[in-house]
Amino acid sequence: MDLDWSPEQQAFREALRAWLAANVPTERRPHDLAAAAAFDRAWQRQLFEGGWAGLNWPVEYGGRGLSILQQVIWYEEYVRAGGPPMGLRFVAQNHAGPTLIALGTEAQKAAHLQPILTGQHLWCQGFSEPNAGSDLASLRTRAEVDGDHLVVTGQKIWTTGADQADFQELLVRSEPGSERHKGLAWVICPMDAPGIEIRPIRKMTGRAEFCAVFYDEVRIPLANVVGRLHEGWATAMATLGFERGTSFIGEMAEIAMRLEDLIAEARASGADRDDELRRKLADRRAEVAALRALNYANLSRYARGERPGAEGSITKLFTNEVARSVQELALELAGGVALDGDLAENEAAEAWLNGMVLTIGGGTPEIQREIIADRVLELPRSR
Amino acid sequence: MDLTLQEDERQIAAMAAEVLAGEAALDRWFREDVDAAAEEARLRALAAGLGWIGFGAPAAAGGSEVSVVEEAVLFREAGRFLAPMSLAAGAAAARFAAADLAARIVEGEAAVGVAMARDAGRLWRLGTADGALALQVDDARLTLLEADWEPAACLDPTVPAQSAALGSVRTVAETSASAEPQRFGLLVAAQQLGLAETALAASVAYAKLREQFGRAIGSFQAVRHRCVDMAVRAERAKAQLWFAAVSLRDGAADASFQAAAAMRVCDDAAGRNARDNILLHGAIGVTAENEGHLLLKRATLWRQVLPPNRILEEIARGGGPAW
Repeated sequence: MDLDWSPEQQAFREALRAWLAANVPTERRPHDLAAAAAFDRAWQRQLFEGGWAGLNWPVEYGGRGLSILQQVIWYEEYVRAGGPPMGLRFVAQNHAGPTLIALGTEAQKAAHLQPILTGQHLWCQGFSEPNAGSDLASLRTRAEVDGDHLVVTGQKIWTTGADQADFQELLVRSEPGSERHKGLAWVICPMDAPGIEIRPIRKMTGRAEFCAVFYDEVRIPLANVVGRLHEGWATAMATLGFERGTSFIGEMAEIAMRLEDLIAEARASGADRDDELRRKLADRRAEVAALRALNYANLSRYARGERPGAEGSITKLFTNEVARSVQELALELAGGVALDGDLAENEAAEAWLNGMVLTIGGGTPEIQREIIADRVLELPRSR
Repeated sequence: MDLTLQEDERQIAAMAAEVLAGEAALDRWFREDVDAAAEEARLRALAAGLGWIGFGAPAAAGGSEVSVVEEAVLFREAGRFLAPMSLAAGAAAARFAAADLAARIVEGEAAVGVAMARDAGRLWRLGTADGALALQVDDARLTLLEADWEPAACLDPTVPAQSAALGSVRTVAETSASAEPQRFGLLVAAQQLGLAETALAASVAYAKLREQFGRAIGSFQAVRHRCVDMAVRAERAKAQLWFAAVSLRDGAADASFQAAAAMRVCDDAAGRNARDNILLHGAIGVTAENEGHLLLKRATLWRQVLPPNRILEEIARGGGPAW
């Protein structure tokens, strides 16, 4: 075992650090969602022009084709430099792009990959429904085949950025009477198609970041189906598979930097003279170290060619837990200021509330535990 | 950067696990005639014969001079089987004792217990009944001492124990090289990890076997999720142990922080997994015939050797992680 970086990796780190120092925006990502979307597009454009778009995409599709370990370096340096969050770029960069590369037709790739890389197109996700959350396979939004079109009727919910996105990865029931994982389709849905109605939903952070999306006989060309018609579950699993692997490094690095800032603040203010608080900070420091080590251990395996699996659920569970406990401590340290209702200015409170949002997003802790119980511990099924 | 065990490291673990499964299965503690002192002497001789006590010791003492990484890999396996506490104490002492004494420790002839405060006036010696040597640990140094030990009973029935008045203590050797307490701390952490993994394995096996309400209890979410939390604790402890061991081996700037963090998370995994394992076993878990209490008691003993508050203070004082 070793923790060494090769001379090439060091050189990569230095080049990256220089580029980030010169390019990371000095202004914060705006609080207003439309302004934030414009910010996200512009930053993606800048990444593209700097040659840093599509880090893990193959070079033949315009990506950088970085190795796993180069991606680790990227995320660490990015967070150190104070790079903007993924924001509304997430679905296009981490879901739609990789899914199209893996399963899309040549026409789909030609139409979408470049605009995703340049930030011209933002995407949103269309998986969850009011009655299909943790149990995604129970989704009911239907898509009837009519000639060379699908006609979509139903509802999606918790769609982050639906009102800002250009396209949606939409999972629908294409085979009438089908159940569970069968008879689904993964479709590219243009968000300006007639029959789509979008209603923003306000989160407890005060931001209207996600939406309910209603479909009333929305006509989408069959040519927009990615993967096989009626076999959309396989496409969706491929999409979610891309979330695993390197996706937690950025969050880990962010928590680590946040905690070290908190410790420095507590030392400066003298708050750390309190035994209980000082030991809590130390305990978080040990946990964050273990979180980094856990990420490194996973990534070492992927770098050796192992495919990301259910251990991603262990990482998510632990990441969310550590993040929440660091944020709770930040709130405690902030004192009365943390009660400020202007969340645009109150970073500690917003991060604290967002910690709960991030915990639910991508699967609740209970669902992660079910995945680990089934696939890692191989316990008898509960359902 | 690679935090996966390499072939040679896997071989060390596999070999140790095979020997210990044959010679030190936990059910040895349920035999009528079991005697903790005799068990310690038997396993110390076995371990010495296999070169385990001198694994990291200097060649001049007959040791193999392996790094802390290989040593931690070995002691994780020892921890799974509640190996005698004298193995890690001996391994640490043989690195700084005078060469002739170190050689006797490596050969298993001189037994080293673990010394710790019992109360204001007395010291404990835990882990062996032979000789008079004991290793005392604090943040800054390791001390090998002797005292006039008198027999005593320990909470953990697998651990031979004595106590002595502080006035009778004599220092035999000491080291203030800061890496040595950290190295010993990682051997303790490695054993705590192994113990946490044994507790997890016992719970998962029992959850698959035991039926209530007509189903294996491992199909109930309350049971499944507790097992998962045990697994998460063990996974994160393991990752941090390897990270810290490599950092210490390579003399990384933040090695002492990484080591303390490993001690903290491995100790946490051991203590909580040992407790959860008992709770998941129900009434059988609180009997003397179940291994659950042995795991809990040993985890608690090691915790007294490396008290969490002391480790946390070390983490709070220090420079933290390097990036």
